[in-house]
Amino acid sequence: MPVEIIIKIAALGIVIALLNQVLKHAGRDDQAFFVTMAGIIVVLTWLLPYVVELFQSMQSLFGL
Amino acid sequence: MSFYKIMCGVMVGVLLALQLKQMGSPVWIYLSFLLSMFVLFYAVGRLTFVMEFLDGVMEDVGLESGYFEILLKIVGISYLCEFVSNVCRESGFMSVAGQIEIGGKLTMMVMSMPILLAIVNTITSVLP
Repeated sequence: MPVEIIIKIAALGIVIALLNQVLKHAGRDDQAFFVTMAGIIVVLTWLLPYVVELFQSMQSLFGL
Repeated sequence: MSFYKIMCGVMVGVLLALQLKQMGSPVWIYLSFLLSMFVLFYAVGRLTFVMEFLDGVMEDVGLESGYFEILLKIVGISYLCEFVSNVCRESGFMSVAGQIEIGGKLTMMVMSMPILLAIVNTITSVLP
């Protein structure tokens, strides 16, 4: 698991927060919700392969 | 990857997650989950060496390795339960975390039954 993914997710989070604020101030609450949702889905797609890798390595190591 | 590098990454990640939390971004919980996973990932990688070493020692000594495998599984279950329950607690799911801990303890007890049985058998064979 590379260190860069921490920075990547943090950057995405900051971008989402900024977009959310801007869209809310512009009165487009539904679009703000969709932006947040899309960000969460992108983060999850980055995260899931590492979750699977971690659990598989633990399974093979301990013979669970 | 060196331990120093991992710790630096975690430190930076925690500071960034704190900032995200204050900004009201919903991503901070995923970032904290990623950080705990990050540390465990490398800890498991380190543990592989220990496991190979212990396997070699067990083969050299010639002990019955069935009990050693059970011990290994119990250690794995405790690591996994601790990790998942901590993630649940961080997300605010206290009751789920408690249930996971209880489930882990029960599973460990069930898996350690053969060892207990062996001890009881040894004691009864020694006793007249």
